[in-house]
Amino acid sequence: MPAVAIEDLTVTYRIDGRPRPALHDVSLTVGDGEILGLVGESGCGKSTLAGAVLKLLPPGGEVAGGSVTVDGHDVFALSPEELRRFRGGRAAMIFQDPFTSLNPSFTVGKQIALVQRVHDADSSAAARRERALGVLGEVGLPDPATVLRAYPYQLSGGQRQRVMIALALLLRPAVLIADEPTSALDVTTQAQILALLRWLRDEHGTAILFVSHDLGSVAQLCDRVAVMYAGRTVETADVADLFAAPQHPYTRALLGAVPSWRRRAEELVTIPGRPPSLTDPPDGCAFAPRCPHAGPACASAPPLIELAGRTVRCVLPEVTG
Amino acid sequence: MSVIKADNVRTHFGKVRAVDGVTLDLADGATLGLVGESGSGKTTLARTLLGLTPATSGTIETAGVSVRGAGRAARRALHRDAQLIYQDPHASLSPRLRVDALLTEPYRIHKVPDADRWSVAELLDLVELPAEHAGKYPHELSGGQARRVGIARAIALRPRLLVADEPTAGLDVSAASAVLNLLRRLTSEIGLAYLMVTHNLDTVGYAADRIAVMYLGRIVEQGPVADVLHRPAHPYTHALVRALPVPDPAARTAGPPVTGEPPSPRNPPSGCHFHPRCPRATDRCRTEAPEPLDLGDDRRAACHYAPDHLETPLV
Repeated sequence: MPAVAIEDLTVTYRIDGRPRPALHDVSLTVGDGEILGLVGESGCGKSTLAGAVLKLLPPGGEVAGGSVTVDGHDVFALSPEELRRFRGGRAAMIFQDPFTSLNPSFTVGKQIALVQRVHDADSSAAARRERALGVLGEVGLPDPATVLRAYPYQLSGGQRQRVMIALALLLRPAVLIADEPTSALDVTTQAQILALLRWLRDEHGTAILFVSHDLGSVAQLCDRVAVMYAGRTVETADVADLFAAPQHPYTRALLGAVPSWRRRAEELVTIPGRPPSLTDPPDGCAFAPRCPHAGPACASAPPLIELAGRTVRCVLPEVTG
Repeated sequence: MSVIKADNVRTHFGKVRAVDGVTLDLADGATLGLVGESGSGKTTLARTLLGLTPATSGTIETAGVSVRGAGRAARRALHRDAQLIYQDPHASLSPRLRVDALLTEPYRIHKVPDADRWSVAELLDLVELPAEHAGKYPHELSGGQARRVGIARAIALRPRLLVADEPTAGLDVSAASAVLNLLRRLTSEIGLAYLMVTHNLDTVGYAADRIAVMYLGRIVEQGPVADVLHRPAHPYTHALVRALPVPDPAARTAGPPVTGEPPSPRNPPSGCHFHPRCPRATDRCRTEAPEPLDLGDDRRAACHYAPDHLETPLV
């Protein structure tokens, strides 16, 4: 059984009084101990999908269909009390900006204690403190006892993200949802956090859903990648296949648009136009208005084609054989 | 001719030495990428070079104006010939002005004669925006479009120098690549000198001819971008290159190149600022601050062992 199984998930946001789909029938799995990269530009639905896995949707967001199973639990069927224990217990989440997800008026020690009060009420105070120091050390914070007494503002961005990961680790979750966890960090710190996430998987077998717009980090960290566009997955593949031979025109454009000092001479690929708005989705393929290969066949919704271990939502592979 | 000539510039805020002895030269028409992590002082340096933040000591000549102690008229000329594109395009455009008014505002401020003005349509065309955007307000523009209006405003006065602070920050991959292509084309077509301030080594490697790497207020290495990135002479540059996540799963890095994070500029380490994180630090590095060494081929690096690193590449 995969760590996360998302089936035909549709999520809507209420805009001007009407529900508008932000996710359309998304199906995706994260295998046990797998790191799945979820890639796309802003507004494509990747953060909505990440939140939905823990039934964390912003106000106005609603599950209109489909199911999410995490570590054997049907997430949408959990009672509020079960959900509270499930979040942070079997599945944990870390965010882009650790400063806004930590409470500024509590010390790190206090925030860890709050988590333990919900999830680990039976242990003695000494055992809990021991455990808190343990996880802070595990995530590479040099002086756990000092960090325990520190307020978030006294820590650097990298240290705060380590604290978030320590909080997530506390209960040995089967699944970690990481929403742009390195986007706000400097490049040398980013490399350290990516290494820490890889260690977490290798050491504890934690499955990770890694949401990112940074294709470099995804290539470095992930086993498999799902590319999203306008609320749908347009391509899923093993990381090596995706980067070596992207099939969907959007994936190809995205890879060509990333600047690299190793490819100085080349002009970057640009994608004309903008993604469709939630309120006015095009008929047929959502990418067609921006796609250099679009033809008459793209006016109807493209099928999800399965090719050797990957899926592509495009008529093109069929057309080109 | 140099459009920027800075010698031993310092900008201190109380005890914080944000810029601490920077010597820099940018030729007319050339592009320089100024790279550093947060707190390195790169934005303060750019502002100091433009006279927007007063220097504590040193000499600066930007666009022919001696920046320190420049009078009113000289500052006005400086602010015409050296233009800054801000990081947040929406914050730098007045929400009450339409795009056409925003684009002609620089002409009114600097009383540019009609013959020397580009029309609104010409300016929009230069930055590849459709003409109908002239009637829009900033809130009706996407991030990428607002950034283009900011660029059009900056080049309207035909400056000698364009300074861009994180020109692609906050943009999606596709919008960012379009802005980078645009800046590359404009600077070469118009013959603008271009100083790009960023934390992103890939952007600099793509967009600039020369690179200057900052760490805690000092430039630790500068030179032609391809030479510096292929064979760094300073261990910090090397760490930055190694830390870049390469979008190629076949080229995975073994692990983070350096541990720890940059120390506070309020209390920088003794000797070489990088020594606590440098895997090669010696006793000399702990006590003696390295001066920038001339390495030939237009390269300089502030590391005692820079010549050795050119001979035996860092790994």
